Amino acid sequence: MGERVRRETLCGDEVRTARLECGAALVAVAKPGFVRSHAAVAARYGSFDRTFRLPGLPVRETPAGIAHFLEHALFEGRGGNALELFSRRGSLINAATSYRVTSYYFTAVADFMPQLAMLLGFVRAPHFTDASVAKERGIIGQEIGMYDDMPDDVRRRLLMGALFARHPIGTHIAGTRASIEQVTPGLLDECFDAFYRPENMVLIAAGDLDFDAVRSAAENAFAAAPPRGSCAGAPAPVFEDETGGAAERCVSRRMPVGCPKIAVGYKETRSAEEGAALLARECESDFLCEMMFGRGSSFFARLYEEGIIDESFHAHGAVFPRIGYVAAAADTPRPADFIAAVEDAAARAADSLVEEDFARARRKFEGEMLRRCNSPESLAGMCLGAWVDGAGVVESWDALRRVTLDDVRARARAVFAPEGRAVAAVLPHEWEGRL
Amino acid sequence: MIARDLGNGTRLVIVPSAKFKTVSVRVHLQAGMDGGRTCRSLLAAVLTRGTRTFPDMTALQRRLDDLYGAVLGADTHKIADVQLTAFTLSAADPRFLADAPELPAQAAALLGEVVREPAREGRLLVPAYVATEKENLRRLLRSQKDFKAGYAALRLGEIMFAGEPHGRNELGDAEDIDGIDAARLSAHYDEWIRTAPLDVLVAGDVDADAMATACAAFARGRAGGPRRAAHPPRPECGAVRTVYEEDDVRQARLAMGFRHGAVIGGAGHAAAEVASGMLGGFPHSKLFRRVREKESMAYSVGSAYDAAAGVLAVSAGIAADACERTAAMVREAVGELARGEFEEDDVRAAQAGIVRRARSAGDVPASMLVQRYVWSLFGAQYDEDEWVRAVQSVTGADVAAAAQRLRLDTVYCLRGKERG
Repeated sequence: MGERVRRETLCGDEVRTARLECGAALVAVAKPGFVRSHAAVAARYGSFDRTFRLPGLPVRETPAGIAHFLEHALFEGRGGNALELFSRRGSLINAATSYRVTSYYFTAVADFMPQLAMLLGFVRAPHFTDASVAKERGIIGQEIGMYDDMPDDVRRRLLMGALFARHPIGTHIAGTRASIEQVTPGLLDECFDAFYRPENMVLIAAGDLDFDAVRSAAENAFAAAPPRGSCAGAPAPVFEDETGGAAERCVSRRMPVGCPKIAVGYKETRSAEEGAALLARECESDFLCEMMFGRGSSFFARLYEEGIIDESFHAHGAVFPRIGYVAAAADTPRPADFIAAVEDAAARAADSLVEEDFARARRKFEGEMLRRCNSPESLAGMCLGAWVDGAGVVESWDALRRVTLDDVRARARAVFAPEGRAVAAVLPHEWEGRL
Repeated sequence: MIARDLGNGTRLVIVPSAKFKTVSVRVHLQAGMDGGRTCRSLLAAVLTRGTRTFPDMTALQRRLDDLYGAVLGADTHKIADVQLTAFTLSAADPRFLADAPELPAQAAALLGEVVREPAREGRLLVPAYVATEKENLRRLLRSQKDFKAGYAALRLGEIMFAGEPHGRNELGDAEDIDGIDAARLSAHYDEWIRTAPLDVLVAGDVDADAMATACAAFARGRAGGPRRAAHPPRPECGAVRTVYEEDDVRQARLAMGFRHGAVIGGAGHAAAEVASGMLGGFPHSKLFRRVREKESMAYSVGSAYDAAAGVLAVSAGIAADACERTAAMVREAVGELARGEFEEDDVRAAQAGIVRRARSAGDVPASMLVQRYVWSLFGAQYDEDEWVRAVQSVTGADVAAAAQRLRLDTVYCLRGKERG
């Protein structure tokens, strides 16, 4: 318990970071005056980790959707169902699986400490049975059905599949109805032991709370449930080579939607990066998208005024250790014009980025950061995002302030290669135009 | 809370709080769910296109960006038979910035210009803006079917409240759009902005006098018509209507509407909320435990009580062949509540969840402001502690009585053409 605690300030809130004895990380953000407190326990395990290798062992392939399945199954504990137990105390509880991380979290306005111990208890004590796996399979099957009817989600998946031929980003986080058939209690135990090791986990808390109490609760919970099994060493995800251009130029699907939904994406592949380098790429993406496609850009004004896009338009960049992309998406009555406009903007990107827009984007990000700090949940989300990258939340904020205009221009030249472009379209059944 | 009368039917309400890092300003304009709905829905979009000083999107957006990324929004809402148009602006609190001490007043002034001094060509709202926003609204209405859970709720409301103001779409009607041009919209705007009750709501660490000065422009030259009271739809209903519709969907969406009648601030409001919480409001509820956790039939299933309308709605995403069975399970669960077939613990659990929601709202500037405003439409004054006490004093007998008042009105199901 003797290890030093790092203290920093983020927009006036104190952020404390420590490493627990077991190796897990702890991040706590003080929100004085806030009634609600939020805690999240997370493991560095997501849909990207489907194929992995433990030190000294052969490569292991697991079914698509396994990390998400584990997330569902872990809430079914020996002492009951976490969703029911927390909600009976009035708290909001949920869990989420992303590409790179699984997190379990709750928000409470009373009895925070006992519930924190409960949450840690669930996440450290798996109890996978045939009955619970069968039950979750039915629930997840309906969840997959729900996503299949969500046009924005379908469009995103189509785009990822078109950009990336082999990387797991092309497969849905929840898997498919066929892939989740292959999940068994034994497989869940194996993945839990590989990925839910303390040094692969973090506890994040945000609220008007007592840091020392949070820290000792975490120490106790991890001490009470040491890692199972004998394997030593961290699991490493295994990826097939994903260099080269987009896997497909254009993919589409018909769905009952009011208007064509188009996304244009540009694929990026690079050498594995983490920590400061990864943060820098993410910040450059933020600037790039804001300057090129933000609501104050000439691109946005022109397309909006011509009726090609509406409020649904958005652009964002994502960066992962080996891959990344920039995508612009909109509901548009004129898909071909929209695609051509994005291609044109991409071709001229580096020259179109000017100092005035850069300065404006920086001011805007400063205000956005303050807005996010209004909520314990969004603060915890930022801390989690930084932790997954191997960094701290204050470091990630500093990284955004260090970006220069030249960095953004260099990034634009790297991202917008014509061969890395793909289009995904969700089209109304009755639509008769051409893409 | 600080309330000031700015005159001419214009009120300023400030909820001072130093715990936020932003200052939130909201302008609420009321109207009925009448024939002018489509015009006002268009106005929400047209007014945010440009102002007298910042006449186009780029100029206006760049001004917002310069104000440290202030966020401007305009939305249309339905509260029983009231159409509420909200213009919102959230700006950074200057305490956390190096050089922007006037930011809250500048933000309020900019919002004032959006609402009171829109960009014009001559006396008309800019015809090009009106034309684009007509197309955008047409598309938005068509796209309401994209999100299936929302669409099922929308269809349930249309069917259940056909012929009542609450059954109309707060975003307007597609068939009205053609008949609206810049002249008609400008005339509607001029009359509406002159007479509609207008509230400016502020949350943050602000100086009340400086805010009142910055907001004086909202009241200038207005006549200020009478304030509205909200009227919920009728509480009684006839035989149950069942409507099945088909589309190309993988999952069926079930939506069921029950009339109840208890409204905000009125007798039975808290009991109805607790009953809904026990039915499907939380993961410990009857529907979540049974339909999802026991039968493994759904990922999402739940109920919500709309206390403005006095209506309870159930929603579920299920397999296409499970609609009848799920609907039967919902009716059975309501029957159990009405017969008192539950534990005291279940009552306490639902109370705890509703209290958490109420307490959490105080941490969110917009929730705080909207909650108070909506209660005022029912002639009630929202007081967080009083509401928490009302919820906590609900007994098991109150819950059973509340459930006995639930009358199933409409069962709606959207499902695929192929079952299974």
